[in-house]
Amino acid sequence: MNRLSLICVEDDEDIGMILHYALVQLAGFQVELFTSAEAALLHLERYPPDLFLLDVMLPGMSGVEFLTELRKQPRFAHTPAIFLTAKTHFLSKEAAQALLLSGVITKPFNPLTLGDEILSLMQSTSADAGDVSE
Amino acid sequence: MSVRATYFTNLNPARWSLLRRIMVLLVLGLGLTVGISFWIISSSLNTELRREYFAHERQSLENTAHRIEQRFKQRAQFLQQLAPLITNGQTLLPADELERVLRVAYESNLFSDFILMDTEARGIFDYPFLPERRGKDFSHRPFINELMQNWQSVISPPLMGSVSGLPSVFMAEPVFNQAGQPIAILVGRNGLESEMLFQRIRNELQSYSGQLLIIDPTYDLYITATDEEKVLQPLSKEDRIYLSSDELQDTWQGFYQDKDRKNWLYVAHKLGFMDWIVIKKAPEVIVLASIQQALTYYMLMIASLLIPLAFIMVVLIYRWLAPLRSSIVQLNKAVEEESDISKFNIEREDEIGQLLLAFNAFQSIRDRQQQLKDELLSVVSHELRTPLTSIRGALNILQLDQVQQDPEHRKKLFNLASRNLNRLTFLVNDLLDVVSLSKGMLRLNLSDCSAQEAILEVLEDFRALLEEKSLQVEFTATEEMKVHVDQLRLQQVLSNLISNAIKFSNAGSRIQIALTQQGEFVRISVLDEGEGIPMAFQPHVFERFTQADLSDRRKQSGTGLGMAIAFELVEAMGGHLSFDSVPGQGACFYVDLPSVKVMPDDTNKALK
Repeated sequence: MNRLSLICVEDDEDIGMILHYALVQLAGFQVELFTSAEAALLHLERYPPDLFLLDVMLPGMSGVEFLTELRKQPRFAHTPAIFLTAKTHFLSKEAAQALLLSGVITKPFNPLTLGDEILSLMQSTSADAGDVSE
Repeated sequence: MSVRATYFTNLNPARWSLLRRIMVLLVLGLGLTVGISFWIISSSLNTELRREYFAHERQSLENTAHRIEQRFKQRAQFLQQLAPLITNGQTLLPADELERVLRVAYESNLFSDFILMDTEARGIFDYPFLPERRGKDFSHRPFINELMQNWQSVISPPLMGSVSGLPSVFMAEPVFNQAGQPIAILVGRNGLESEMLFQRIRNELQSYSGQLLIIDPTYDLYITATDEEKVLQPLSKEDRIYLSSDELQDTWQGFYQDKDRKNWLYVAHKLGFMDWIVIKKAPEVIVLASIQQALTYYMLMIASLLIPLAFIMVVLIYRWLAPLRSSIVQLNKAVEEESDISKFNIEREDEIGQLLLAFNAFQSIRDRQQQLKDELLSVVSHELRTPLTSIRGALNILQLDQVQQDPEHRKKLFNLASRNLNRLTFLVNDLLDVVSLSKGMLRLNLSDCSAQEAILEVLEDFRALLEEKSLQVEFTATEEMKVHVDQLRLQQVLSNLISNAIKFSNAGSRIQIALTQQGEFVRISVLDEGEGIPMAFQPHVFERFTQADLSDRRKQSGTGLGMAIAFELVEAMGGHLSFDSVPGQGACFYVDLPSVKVMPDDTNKALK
C-alpha cells in the first residue's frame, strides 16, 4: 500500500514541527511542508498530492485563496483538501462546498489522532464524491 | 384596568403625546387670543360708544329741556298778556265778550282750560264750560293762596285738577283794574295728559327703546313718563336715583342696574324754570347693540379663519411627527424582539430628522464597535489557539513512550512548549493592558529616570536576538537626559519598538537609536533599515488589531496589540509616539517624553 502523500502549508514553525511528527512519524504519511502558499505553488508542478492540508491564516496568500487558485487548475480540481485552522466561521457552507472542501480540523488538534481524523474525513467525502459522479 | 384609571392617567399632561399637547396648546392659545382680543375690542368700543351716547344725549336732552322751558315760559307770558285783555279798565268784560276772548286764546292750543275767579277765589267763569267750576271755592289750593298774598304770577306744582280730575299744572295770573287793584284771578290749566310737547318727545324716544321721564323732585312725582301710568304717581324706588345725585351741574349722566339686573344709561337735566328734572334713559344693551353685532361678526370671521387654520396646523404637525412615531414603533419592536434595527429613513432635515440622523450615526458607531469586538474576539481566540496548539501538541507527543526515552527529542519538545507558553503569557498581558488602557484604569508609577539607562537596559535584553540576526545597534546620546515617566512602562514601549525593528530588519543591517532634546520633550528615535510600513497601513499602525491585514500580522508573529499599547502608554505618560516610514526604506519611530530639566549643579553632584 502506497503511503498517503500530503502537501501541508503551515506558517508557524512550532506547529509545523508538531505536524511533521504527527503525520510523518505517527501516521506514516509522506508530507511536504511549506510555510507559505506562494512557496507551495512553486512546487505543485512536480507532483499532485493525495491531499492538501492547509492553514487558513498565512502570510501573503491565505489558505482559502490558495485553494481557490488550485481549483482553477484541472489537475487539482478534485484533489481532497482539508483546512487546519484556529479560526472559526471563516467560510460559509456554500463557499466550502464550492471549494470541494473535505473538512476542517480546528486547532488545537491532538497530534496522536490527527492522521486518523484526516483519513476518516477523506473517506466520508470520497464516498460523497462517488455518489455525485454516478 | 378600569376606565377610570385610564381617564385619570389622561389628565396628567406628562403622559400626553406631543401631538396632544400641541393640540391642547393650540386650542387654548387660539381661544385665549380670540377671547382677549374680543374683550379688549369690546371694552374699548363700549367705552367709546357710551361716551358718544352721553355726549349726544346731553345735547339732545338740553334741547328738549329748552323746548319745555320755552313752552312754559311762553304760556306764562301768554297768560300775563291775556290778563289785561279781559278787563275794560274798571271791571271784567261782559260774559259774551269774555267768552270770545277766551275762545280765541284757547285756540292758541297753549292751555287746556281757562278759569276765571273772583278775588275770593270763587269760580266765576271758565272756558271750555264745565258747570261745576262756576261758584266753586278754590281758595284751599295752595297756589291760589300764594297768589292772593302777593298778587303776583304763580305756577302750581303738578296737581290733579279738582274738577277735571286730570293731571295738570296751573298758571295763575292776577287781573288788575286801571287803579292797580286786583279784580279777578285768571288761571290756565296745562293738562299734562294732553301735553303735545311731551307726546312728541315720547314718540321721538320710542324709536330706540329710550324712555323719557320728567319728575318733580319737590313733590316726588312723575310729571310725565313714557309709561303713561306713571304720570303724577309717586316716584318708584328705581327712579329716586336722580334725586340723590349730588351733581352741581344742570346736566349730569350715569348708569345703574335695575332690579332685573339690567343696565341703564341715563342723562338728566334740571330745568331752571320749573325746578323739574328731565331724564332720558336707555337700556345699555340697546345702546351697545351695534357693537355686539359687529363683535359677533368679528367672532364668526375669526372662528371661520382660525378653525381651518388650527386644523391645518394639527394635520401638519401630525405629519411632521410621523417619522418620530414610526421610529418609536420600530425601536419598541426591536426592543421587544431583542433584534437589530434597520436604519431610519430620513426625509427631512428638521430636528426630528437630525435626531434620527444622529441615531443612525450612533447606530453605525455601535455596529462598528460590535464588529470590532467580534473581530477582536475572533483574532484573540485565534491568537490564543496558535500557541495553545503547539503546547498541546508538544505535551501530547511527550506522552509517548518512544519520545520519553529520547532525551534530545524530549528537550526539543519541552522548549517548544515553554516558548509558546511565554508567547501566551505575553499575549494575555497585552490584552490586560489594553483593557486597563481603554478603561483609563492603568496605574502609572511616575518618577524621574534616566532615558539612557532605560534604553541600555532594554538593549541588554535583546542582545541574544541581535546577535542571532547579526544586527548592529548604534546608540547616540548627546547628554544626560531625564524624563518623568513610569520606568517599567517606558521599557515596555522601547522593547516593543526595538523588537519590531529587529523583526523587520534584514540580517546584517543596522538599527540606530538616538536620544535628543526637542523643546520640552526628550525624543528617543528608533530607526531600522527594514522593509518599512506600507502606505495603506500607515494610518492604522496605532490601532488595535486593525492596522494590518491578518496575514501580515502573522508575519510579525505579534498580537497586533503591541503598537496600540505603546502608543496609549506614551500618551498616558504625557508624551507622544509617532513615526516616519518610506516603504522599502525602513521606518523610524519617535518617542517624545516630557523632559525633566537637569540643573548643571545637580548633574555635577550626580557625577560626583
